[in-house]
Amino acid sequence: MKKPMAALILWLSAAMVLSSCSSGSLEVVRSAEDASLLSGSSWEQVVDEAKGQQVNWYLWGGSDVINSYVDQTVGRVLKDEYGVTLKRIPVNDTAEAVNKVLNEKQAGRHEEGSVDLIWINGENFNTLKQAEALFGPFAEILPNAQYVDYSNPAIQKDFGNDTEGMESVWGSAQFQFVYNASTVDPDELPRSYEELKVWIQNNPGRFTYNAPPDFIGTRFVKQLFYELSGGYEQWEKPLDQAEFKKAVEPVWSYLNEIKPHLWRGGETYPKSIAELQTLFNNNEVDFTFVQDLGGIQAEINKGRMPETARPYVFRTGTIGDYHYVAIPYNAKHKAAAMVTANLLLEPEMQFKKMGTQEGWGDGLGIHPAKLEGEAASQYKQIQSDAGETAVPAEVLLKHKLPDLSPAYNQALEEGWRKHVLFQK
Amino acid sequence: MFYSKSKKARLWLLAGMLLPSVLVILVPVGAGLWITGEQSLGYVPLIGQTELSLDVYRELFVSRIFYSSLSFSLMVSLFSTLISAVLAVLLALWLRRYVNKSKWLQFLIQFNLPLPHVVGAMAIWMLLGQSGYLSRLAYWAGIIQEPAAFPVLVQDQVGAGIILEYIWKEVPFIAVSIISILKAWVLPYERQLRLLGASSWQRFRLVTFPFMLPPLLSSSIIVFAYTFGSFEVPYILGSVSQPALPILAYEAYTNPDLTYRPEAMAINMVITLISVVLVFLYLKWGEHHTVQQS
Repeated sequence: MKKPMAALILWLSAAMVLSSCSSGSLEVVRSAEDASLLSGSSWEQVVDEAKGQQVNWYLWGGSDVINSYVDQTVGRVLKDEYGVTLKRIPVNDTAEAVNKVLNEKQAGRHEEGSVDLIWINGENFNTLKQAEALFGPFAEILPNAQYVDYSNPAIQKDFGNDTEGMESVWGSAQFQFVYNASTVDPDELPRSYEELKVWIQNNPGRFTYNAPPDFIGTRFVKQLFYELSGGYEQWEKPLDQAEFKKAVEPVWSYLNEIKPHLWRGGETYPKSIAELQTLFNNNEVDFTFVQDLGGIQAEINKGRMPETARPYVFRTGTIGDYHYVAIPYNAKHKAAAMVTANLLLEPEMQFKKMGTQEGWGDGLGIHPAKLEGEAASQYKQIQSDAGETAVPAEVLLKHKLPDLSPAYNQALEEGWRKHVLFQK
Repeated sequence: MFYSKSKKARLWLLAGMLLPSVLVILVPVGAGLWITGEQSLGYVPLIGQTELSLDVYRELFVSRIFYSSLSFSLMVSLFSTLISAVLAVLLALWLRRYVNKSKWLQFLIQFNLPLPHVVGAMAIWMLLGQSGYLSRLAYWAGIIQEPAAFPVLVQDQVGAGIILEYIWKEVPFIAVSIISILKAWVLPYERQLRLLGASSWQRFRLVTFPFMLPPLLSSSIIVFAYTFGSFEVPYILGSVSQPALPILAYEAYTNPDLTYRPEAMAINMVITLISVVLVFLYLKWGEHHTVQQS
């Protein structure tokens, strides 16, 4: 009987602590040690302190390529150059790491926490930030932060939530259109939704988009919403149903106007991006979408896209997002975590992550225009190697739009079903 | 004890021995049903909803999409079952005299029984999709000029792909259950009738078909209930704009907004209710079936 009782009490107290967390009544304990790490006066001191530490990095473990990049490429350099041991702790869902930190906070373990670093973004970051369970602001203190464009709102804001230096950017992804150069004349490519509509009407049956709530399908609709409502800036505030309903009206009319000219007359849509890619690969449609900034060479090599597939972006911009690493407020090895976060921004490491040899084609977290000397030429080399199968990073950056907060996401997905999918 | 003369004692023993397996089956099902029912009434403490109400059902029963899904699911199950049953009867009648003689034939009609439906669905998709093998073959042979000219059989509005998959999978299932009856019971009667001078149609009408009917009906009800509640086949072969009922439930369930959870559960309750009715029908026919045999 004792155990369930204890569990119940623990659970109840956890619930109480959680509710007090969200109201912000618990103060973050900040030791003198933390203060000195954050002062930024001496990076050498941080590196010194990190020596001999083990950094416990919690991250999604579902991809062999990512795991081997972290273990081999990052782990080796950390060991050899900084004397830091990297311990990668794989999780199925970042929420597991977040809950671990929250549980420790509830239990009063304000120091010597077991999580040193988390690969994070979006809602999970928001949860930790609300619970005041993050260490920082540390991001801009890192020496390699010089390569990051912190004036870019898409980096400053993570799903519309100000990062406040509590997470350091690691990589990026961005929506891109892909067309088949053998069937579409590059000079006639639509470069805005307005032009896309004309193209679709002139080429009936040759375009479709994957149905929301698929992540990329929702992005396609979201970007249309930006264009028709006059830009993303006005939607950075919390959702106002009445205002949104009015502004989104043209989106539904647009999608219903193109519907009869879509693949199969718009009677159905591909369910996932994989299905859309199959249609594209089989030459049933002329466009598909990707998110990999490293380009589509890997897809072409695997035969999942035709040789003549080429990515490009709209003049009106496409949605991109960044992913980050964050340090919990109670991390035991904060210095080692900072050294790791810094190393991840090292141009060399970023390039390797972008490549398909050691990395996984992930987009850069750093800004190529900020590179100098060796790194800059190396980057140029990578760009020319990728050739036509990747959109140049400058172009992507220039056209990058931030994502909307989850409430808009939900409203758009629900609206699409109601006003487009089931509208006969 | 085992050989106890008392009938009562034997019954108790039997009940006691069955108890563990009954518990294993009933407890999770009961618990699942309880939670589903509770959540369908709006009980979702995760988001602070603890009041029970019938609101979700009220909304569901006036929703156009719900009725369109329900009738789609019913039609798909009905057509799948009817066509499978007719084909299975023909197949059984045609094959029964060869089955005992040929091991290969026996294997052929049974080989797809252990295959999962997902495999069948993928096969149908690759075979009959607009960029599937048949379409490519037709294109190669010059019958069609482009993939879009191939008839839409997959992810279509009437569920043709789904029905085809079910037929592929269920015809052998029904046929096997009929053949076993035909082999075991019918032959002596038919021989008798033949000696009495009955024509083949008379033999079929008076003996073969009546014997076939109970297994045919009971297996058809299984097929209907299965296809009605099945998720993976309509998920792969269905159109997003014409979702089957389980798909509708799944979509509500996977919505990150937890206020959609009760809707998912209410749809599941409707599916469960209809399945339960079918199970009662099945039990009825099963009884009928045993009575006839003995």
